[in-house]
Amino acid sequence: MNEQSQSLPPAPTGGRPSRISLLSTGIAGFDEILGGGLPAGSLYLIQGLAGSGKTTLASQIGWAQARGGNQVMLLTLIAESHAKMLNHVSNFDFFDESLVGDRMQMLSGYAALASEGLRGLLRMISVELSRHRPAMLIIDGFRSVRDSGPSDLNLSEFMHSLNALVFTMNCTTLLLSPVEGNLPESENTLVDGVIELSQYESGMQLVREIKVFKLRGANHLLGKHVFEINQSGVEIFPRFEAIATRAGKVPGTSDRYVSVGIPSWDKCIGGGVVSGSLTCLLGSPGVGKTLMGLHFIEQGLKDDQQCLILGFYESPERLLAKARKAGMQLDAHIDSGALQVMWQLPLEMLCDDLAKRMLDDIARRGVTRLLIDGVDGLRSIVVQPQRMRPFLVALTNELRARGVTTFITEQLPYFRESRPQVDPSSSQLYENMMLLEYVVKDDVNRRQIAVMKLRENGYDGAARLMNISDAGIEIDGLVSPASTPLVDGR
Amino acid sequence: MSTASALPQAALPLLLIVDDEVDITDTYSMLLELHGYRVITACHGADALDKAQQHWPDLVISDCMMPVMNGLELCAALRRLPGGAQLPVILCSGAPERHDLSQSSHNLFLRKPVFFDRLIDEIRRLLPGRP
Repeated sequence: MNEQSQSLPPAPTGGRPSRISLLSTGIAGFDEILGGGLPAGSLYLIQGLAGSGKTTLASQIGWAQARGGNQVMLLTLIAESHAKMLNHVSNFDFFDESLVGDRMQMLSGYAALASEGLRGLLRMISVELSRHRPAMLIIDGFRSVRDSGPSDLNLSEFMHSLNALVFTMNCTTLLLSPVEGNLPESENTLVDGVIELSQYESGMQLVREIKVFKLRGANHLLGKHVFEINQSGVEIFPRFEAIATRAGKVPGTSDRYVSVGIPSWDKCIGGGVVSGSLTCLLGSPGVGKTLMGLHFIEQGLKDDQQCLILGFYESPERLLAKARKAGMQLDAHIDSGALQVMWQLPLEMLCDDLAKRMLDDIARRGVTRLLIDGVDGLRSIVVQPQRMRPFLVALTNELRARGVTTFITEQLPYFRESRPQVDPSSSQLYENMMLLEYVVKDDVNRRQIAVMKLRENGYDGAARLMNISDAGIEIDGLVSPASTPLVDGR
Repeated sequence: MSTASALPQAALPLLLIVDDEVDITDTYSMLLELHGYRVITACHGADALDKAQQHWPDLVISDCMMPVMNGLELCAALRRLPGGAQLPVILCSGAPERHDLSQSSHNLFLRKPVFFDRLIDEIRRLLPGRP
C-alpha cells in the first residue's frame, strides 16, 4: 500500500555528501568563507551599521540568483524606497534591469507590519512566498520588526515562525539589520547564521571587514576577512592564513639542487639551493640583492621553467633594464609568457588579494621559480600587525607545498651598528639565508656575501667578495681578515 | 497559488497534521489554508486519533517520532477504524532508519525536511480533483 519516497535536496558539490544543499552567493571569496555557500532554505541575519555594505552584498547575491533563473523577492520594511535602492545598485555590474519585476520582485511589508503587527507581516510573507515561490527572500530594514514594539516573547515566536516558514518553503532568506555585535536577542539567536559587515580606519585608509559569527550546517572560516566594494560589487578576500590552516598542506621534501644562476656562487654553496626551498637575500640597499634575484630567475628561464617576479618598488621596466645592464636578456621571456612581473606599489592594497593573485598565476602557468623583491613591501600591506607573522608563515608554506623555489630579498639598514642579528622568526620562514653587505677592503668599498643558513647543504660561513660588472655578479675570493664591515659610515 | 475562497467551507478538503513541533504544524497550516484546505492539528498520535474520530479528515500527515503515540501506531489505529482503510496517510521522519516502515500501512513516506512544494504535490496526487 505504501510508497517509500525521499525528499532529499541535492548534495553540494565536493566534500562530504550532505543533506543540506549549498547555495552559491555568486560573490568572489564569499563561498570560500562560508565553506562552499549558504546552506539553502535557511534564515540569515546580515548586520552592520549604515554604510557597511549590507544592501549591496544582499542585492548582489539576489541578482546572482535571479540571473541564474531563480525567483528572488526583495521585501522592504522601513528602509530606502525601491526606486532609490534600484538607483543605487544600478551602478554595479551585477545589476540587470530586465530582471526587475520578472525574477526580481520588490514588495513593501511595512503596511502589513504597521496595521496587523507581526502576525500580519508573517501572513503577508506566507502569501507572497506561496504566490511567487522565490528561492531567495531579502528583507531590508528588518530592525523595524523590533522597533514595532513587540514583547520579547512575541518577537521570539515570530522569529521561530519565520524560520520554520522559510525552511518549509525552501527559501533562503537574508534579514538586513543595522546593528553590530553578537547580541543575545532573538533576531540573532533564532536564525541559522549571523554575518556582520564592519569598517574601521587604519591611518587614512578605510578597511572593510566581514565576519561570520555563526553558520549552522557549514564549515565556515572563522574570524574576520577583508572586503572591497568596487564596480563589480562586493569582493571578499578570505584571510590567507585561515585558508591555509584549513587546507593544512604539508610540503614535500626534495633532494634536488637547482642553480642560483651564478656559477661561482653555486660552487661555494655545494651546487645551489634545494628545489622548492625559500632563500632570503638579506642586505643593505644597492648591495645587489635584486640583481642576484634576477640571476636566479634568468637561470630558471634558461632551464625552460616558468618564472614570476613580484615587485613592490622597482617597476618592470627598471628591473628589465637592470637585467640588461648585467648581461641578462629577460625581455624576450616576457614576450613569450615564460616570465611575468607582478608589480604594485605597496600602497592601499590587500595582502590577501595579492597572495591570491600571485598563487593563481603560479597555478595557472606552473611557475617553479619566484622572486619576491622586497619582503618589506609585503609586510607593509599587512594592515594588522598581528597578522604579519601568520600571513608570511602561511604564504611561505604554500609556496613550499607547491614546490616553488623562491628567492626573497630583505632590506637591512645601509649603515648598521653591529653584525645583523637574525630574527628567529625570519629564520623559521626560510631554509636558506644569505647576507650581502658592504665591506672596506684596502680602503676600497667592496661588496661581500656570506651564507648565514643553508638547508641540507654543506657550506662554510666565510664571507666572499662579490663583484658586479656588465656580466652581472661574480663571486671572488675570500674576504681577507684585514677587511672590516662598513659600520656606521666608517 | 490556487484559492478556494468561493467554495463553501465544508466543501474544502480537511487535512489533519500531526507533529509534536508546533512550528511545523503552524507553518503547514498557514500555507495549506492559503492553498484552499481546511486544517486541523494534533500534537501526538493519541490526540490525532481523537480528532480524526471527531472530524474525519480527508488526509492525514503525521510525523513518526512523537510522545504518547507515534506515527506508525497512529496509522495502525486509523486503519482499524470504520472506513480507516481508505484514509490516505502520509508519514514523515528525519530518521526513517529508526522505524520499521515495512510493516506499516501508510500511503506515502516522506523524509524530513519536507519542503512545501513537495508536500502540496503529494497531497494533490492523493486527493485528485481537490484544490
